[in-house]
Amino acid sequence: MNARVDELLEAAVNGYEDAIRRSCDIQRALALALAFEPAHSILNATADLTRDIGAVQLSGARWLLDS
Amino acid sequence: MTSLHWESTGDGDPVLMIMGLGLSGGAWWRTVPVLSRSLRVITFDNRGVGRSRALLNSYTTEAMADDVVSVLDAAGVERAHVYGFSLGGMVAQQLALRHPERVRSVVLGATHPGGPRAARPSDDVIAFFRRRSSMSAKDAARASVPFNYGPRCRREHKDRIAEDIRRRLAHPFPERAYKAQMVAAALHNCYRRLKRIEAPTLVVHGRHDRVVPPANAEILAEHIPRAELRILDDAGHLYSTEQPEVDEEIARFFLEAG
Repeated sequence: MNARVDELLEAAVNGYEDAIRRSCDIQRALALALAFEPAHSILNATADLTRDIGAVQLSGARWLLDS
Repeated sequence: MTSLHWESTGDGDPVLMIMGLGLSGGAWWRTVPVLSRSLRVITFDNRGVGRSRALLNSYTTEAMADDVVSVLDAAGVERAHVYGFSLGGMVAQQLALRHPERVRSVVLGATHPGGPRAARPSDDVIAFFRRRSSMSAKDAARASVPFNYGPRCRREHKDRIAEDIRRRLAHPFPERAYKAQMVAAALHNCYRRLKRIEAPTLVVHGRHDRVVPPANAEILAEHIPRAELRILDDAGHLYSTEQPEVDEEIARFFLEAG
């Protein structure tokens, strides 16, 4: 792969990773603010899911970039 | 709800230990007495293993790294030295990348960076790990000996291997957690991001490791900017059993890293 294209794709993947992190942080901050059930647990669980689904997507994308 | 069991031994700068596939924090029994002479050693059971529980049976090394931060918070530790072994080393990489402010230094033992550039074990090793889940715990422990230990240890230290197996069988791990951790290891991929790990790092690996080929240690040491490489000539995967003197070196590394 062309080095410039590779750099751009890597930057895009890194940007997506940052977006996932921000989304998780927002959900966890909301969970802290809403300290009543089930809202607190649901928001923490959705933050976990966002992180883990994102992790699978990022792993796959980086796998393709490295292949 | 995910709940994590952790323990703390000794005083001094904190070291957090992350164990490998299917094993609880108690599996550090050879290393904790050495490190805790001069350091505060924190061990914990990874999610789904030992006395820890997980909400879902889908794990990633990212999630397991976030678990480490929860343990550090519970232990009142802001920054710690981190020692990850095998799967635990993959979690340690994620921790150093996701939460660099919590990491003083890292030891990566018998682990790999993930992704297609990682060196894969031979087909017979992969076949063994696939059929391992259908074996009894006792049979699996015995059958894993040629994969876990180097030739010298199998020849000269049968007593140590027997002790490892006895302790492992005393704490069998749930099959679901084992499979979930296998998935986490398969998905792990830090290869491209190793260059972003800023903490001083020691990469330790047995030359005869069949589970995680030693070429992975070279990849890690080459790509992590402040990494040192220590290859143990007479050891396989479970090098702490085979060359226990390495634990002294690791303690020194943490003390010097400050």
